[in-house]
Amino acid sequence: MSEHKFDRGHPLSIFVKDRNEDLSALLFAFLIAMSVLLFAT
Amino acid sequence: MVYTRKSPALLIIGFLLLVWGWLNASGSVDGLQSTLQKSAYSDHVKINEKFQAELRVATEQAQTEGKPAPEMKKPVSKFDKEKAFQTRLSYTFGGGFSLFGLLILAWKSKTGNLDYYLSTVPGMAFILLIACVVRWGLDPMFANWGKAVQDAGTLSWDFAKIFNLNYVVMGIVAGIVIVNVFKIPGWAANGVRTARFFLKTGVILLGALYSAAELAQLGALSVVMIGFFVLGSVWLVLLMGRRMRCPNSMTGVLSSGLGVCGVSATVAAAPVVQAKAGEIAYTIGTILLWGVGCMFLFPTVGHILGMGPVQFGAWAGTGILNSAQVAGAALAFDPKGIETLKVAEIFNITRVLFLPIIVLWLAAWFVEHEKGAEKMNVRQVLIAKFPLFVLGFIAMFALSSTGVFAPAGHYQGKYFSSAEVKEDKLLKPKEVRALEAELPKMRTAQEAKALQDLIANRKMMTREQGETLKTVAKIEGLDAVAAGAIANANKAATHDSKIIKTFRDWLAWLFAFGLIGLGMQITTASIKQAGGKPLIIGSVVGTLKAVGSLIVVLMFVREFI
Repeated sequence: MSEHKFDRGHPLSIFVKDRNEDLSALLFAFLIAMSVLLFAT
Repeated sequence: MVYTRKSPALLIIGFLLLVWGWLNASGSVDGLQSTLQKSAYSDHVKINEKFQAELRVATEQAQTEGKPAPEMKKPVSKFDKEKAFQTRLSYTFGGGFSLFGLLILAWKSKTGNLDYYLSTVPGMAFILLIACVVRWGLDPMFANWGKAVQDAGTLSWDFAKIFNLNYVVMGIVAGIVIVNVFKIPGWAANGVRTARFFLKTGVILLGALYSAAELAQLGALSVVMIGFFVLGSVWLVLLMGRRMRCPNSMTGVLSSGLGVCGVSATVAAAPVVQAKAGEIAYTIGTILLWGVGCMFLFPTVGHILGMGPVQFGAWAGTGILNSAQVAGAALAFDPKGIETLKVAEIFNITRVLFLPIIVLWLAAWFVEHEKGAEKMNVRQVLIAKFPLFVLGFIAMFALSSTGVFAPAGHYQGKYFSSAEVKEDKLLKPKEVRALEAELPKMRTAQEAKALQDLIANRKMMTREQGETLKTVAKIEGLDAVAAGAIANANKAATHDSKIIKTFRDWLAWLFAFGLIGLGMQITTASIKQAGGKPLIIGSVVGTLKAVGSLIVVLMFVREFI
């Protein structure tokens, strides 16, 4: 069961679903934006 | 299944970066750096000489006056900044990768999320190492070589510029060569798959760089151009598919892929036209083949035709089929600036925003033409498949419009602020006198008021007055000192947003990383998927779109950035 759960074969992405990839990218981008805002001023 | 491979590769990459950081910090590679960064180094030498001369004069003056030698701060040159940046990046990532490398060797891997995400780190380090070699080594090396060959008269043109041998193109080519000739090492495979994630992050972050002023100009242009070419391409593919008797599902999915934005549009349209896996593969193969070809061809054509950032961005964002290759071509055309990428991406995003319309159109078209086709819940498909990162881009732009990153009216990261003019940038008495002498030459009350305010405050008070006085500076017979004073006052009140500059640096690295990873996913096997009727339709529509959009851009799009 666990073997199946973590078998994430996908040719283009590390994420099983595009939606997860989009959400993670969204989160990462906002994290970068906030860090830049905090440290570059 | 355990994904993390027990390999010393990550530790070695971390060590190599640390060594480079140390060599840079200690000055051991200054000789090499001065050869690679020729123009920055020559400026560095000039700045140092000027500083030494000023220091000598100040010391001599202090000695004659019997005062202690003055303490003067040595100015930081571009060369110094670049070296400091390389050192900082090498130490940060070298240290991090070394720690993770040790962890991977020592840790007893267990199936699970931690193991999976840990397995991506060596691949990411592998891409970063390639990005550093290409950006810090090969890019300046080819730029110097191209210039030297032109200066020597061997060629009348700069081959590195014309063929876009910059870090973007070389990074993608390095990726393609590695995957097709050497194969991706097993320990790096999962990390390479993070490329698309970083590209999407880059696109979202790009939203922070637009101002409402820029978007108002680009938005209208992009909606008209994209509307015409997207709807035109979809219509043409549907027509050709029917004439060539392709299955409706194949034609439907191909029209979305060729018309909208490549792979993600193909995936979004597939359920509504009930496309089979093979048909999706054919479409993606065709799009990749065209996208990769255009990515290398477009920048060269753009340079030969002398296109500017707006023209090229508009052309790439309309004519290139797939989103990732749009970013690649825009950065290949203009690797040092983000202007072309910004224009190209606004066109690309506009294209993606057409996706719901196209999916609705295809759903209706499929039910009409396919016997026994079941009606799909289009709304459900759209909610499930619409690329969320596009909404992230819009959200980031909305955030940027509030002025949180730079004053809302900024243009290319530059903004006007009278309050921030430094004391030493105020107009000198000689400049004020020259301006006072020119007051009688003012043609309107508005010009006179603007000049009076400038004289009274010794700085430009509003952007509007700055614009008014720019026209005054062009009055025939105006004193050169007065004209220079107006230019200086405008320059002093125009500021660069430090935040926008930091965003630009982040973006350059995110896209470089993502595009090298993208290159590593362009395999001959994926391109070979293209073939048969879809390739014929793809070739006709792809060529018409590329040539048609080029003609429209050259005829109607003018540079205004």
